[in-house]
Amino acid sequence: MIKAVSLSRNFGTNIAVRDLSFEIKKGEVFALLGPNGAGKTTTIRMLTGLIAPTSGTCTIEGVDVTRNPMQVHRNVGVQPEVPGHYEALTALRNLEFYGKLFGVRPPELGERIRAHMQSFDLWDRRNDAVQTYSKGMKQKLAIIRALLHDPEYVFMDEPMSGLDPVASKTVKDFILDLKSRGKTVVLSTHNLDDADRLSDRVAVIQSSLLALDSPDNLRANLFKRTIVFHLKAADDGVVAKLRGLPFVRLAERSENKLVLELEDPEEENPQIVDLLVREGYHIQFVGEVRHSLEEVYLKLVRPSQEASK
Amino acid sequence: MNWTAVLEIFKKDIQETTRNRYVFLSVSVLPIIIIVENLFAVIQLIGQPSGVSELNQILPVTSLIVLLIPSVVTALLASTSVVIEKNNRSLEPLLASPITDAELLLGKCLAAFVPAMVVSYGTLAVLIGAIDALTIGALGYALLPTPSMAYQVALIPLVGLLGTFISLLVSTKIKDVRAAQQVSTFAVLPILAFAAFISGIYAVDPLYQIMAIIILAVAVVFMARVTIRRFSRESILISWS
Repeated sequence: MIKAVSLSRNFGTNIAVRDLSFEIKKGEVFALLGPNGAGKTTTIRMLTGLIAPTSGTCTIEGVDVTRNPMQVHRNVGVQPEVPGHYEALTALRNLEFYGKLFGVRPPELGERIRAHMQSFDLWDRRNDAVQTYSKGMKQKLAIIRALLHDPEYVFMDEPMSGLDPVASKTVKDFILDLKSRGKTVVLSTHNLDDADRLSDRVAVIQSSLLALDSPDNLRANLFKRTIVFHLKAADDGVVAKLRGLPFVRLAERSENKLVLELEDPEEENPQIVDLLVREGYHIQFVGEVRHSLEEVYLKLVRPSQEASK
Repeated sequence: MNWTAVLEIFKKDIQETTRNRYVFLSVSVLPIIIIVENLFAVIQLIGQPSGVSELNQILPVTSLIVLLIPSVVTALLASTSVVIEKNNRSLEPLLASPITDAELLLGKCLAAFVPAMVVSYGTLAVLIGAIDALTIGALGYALLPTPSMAYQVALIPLVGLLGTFISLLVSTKIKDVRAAQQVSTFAVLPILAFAAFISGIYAVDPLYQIMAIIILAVAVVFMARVTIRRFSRESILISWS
């Protein structure tokens, strides 16, 4: 488990991270979301022992990250936002270098390199200098580098950045595979769809923690549930009738669609269907609007950004 | 100390810097120029009546010129190594691996210092052998090495270490490889000037030479401490630019 308690980090007078507390459970995919400059990278750097917090503590499996960074590094893989390879060296040499730093010995090192490079489609280019690689290939190589020592905790900063859809799918599948093997993955990303699909829980930060929960719980907490009734023909009369129901928070019509905000659709939908049928409306389809994580994110971040202005 | 990590950083740095054509050429060409220029001067003096006494005068200069090699080679290699790391943005993944700041610094120092020592002592050995081969027929004895050359021999590692530390420090502030190499080379020149001032050219008194060695050794210790402080992962990640 990763545990951050009141983590803060200042750079001079600039407060990058303020009083951040959370726990990341073993085996979960945890996403850090936030606008540029929100402190995501600083948080990851503190969690991985690269920089010390100004105040607060962070532990990984009970080991204090600031006091025992070397012990933590053996158990942690970091894929930074910028891949940071040795461009003049071959991909194979880059991986061998890091493998040896992490204490992975041949022949196991060679086997791991081969397996990872094959799964990321890089094996045929292993002897090419990294400077000849595309951005996506470098990104994949950085992910392999983070996994060479088979860490229990993997920190990935914008892992899908620069990847084409096929490569992006490979990485996403790989993250889910890590999760299925009990690894803990901490993602920092601007891609909210990916965060929504991959994460068990997300933390939205803007220097301090704005929200922390599963994407579904965040949706439920921030938005009323919205149900759409597609009618063969709708009019304003039906809207007025629906607004008269005590449990309907909001009722709007868009052509033949009725959009309703309800507290408890499972209980209330049948009553609405009854009313519509009684009034002679022909119901074609009923569905729930799923709010995107982007909507959740914007609802959380915008007020904070406006307040800071 | 994890010596495997130190050795890996050393090997990786050597591989990276030697792939830089400018560095490779500079490190290779400088000793060749020094050897050729000195042998040319010796050949010219051999045939002259006052050749032997003039040879004895230029030999201290010759061995002092060899001191250019540890200063320039360490400046080139150390600065290139750091600036390449900065340009590649490879320091963050490197620091996320289980290496200590000391292991990183030691690996980088060795990658600049060891080749500089090999090239410096190699050049000196070639010069001694070639000068002796050229002069032994005329003199009837081996001119080199002379006892006073022990001073230059002792100075080579000190100048190399100072060059390494100064160049590592300079390159933490510079992003461009060429600029780092040039500034580093310029920054180590005062060491050479100091060595020259106290050396056999100006003062043959061994006391001055011992004092110079002690002063340089103290300077090495001081610069090592400054460099160690600058090589903390906090400052590498946050304030190196």
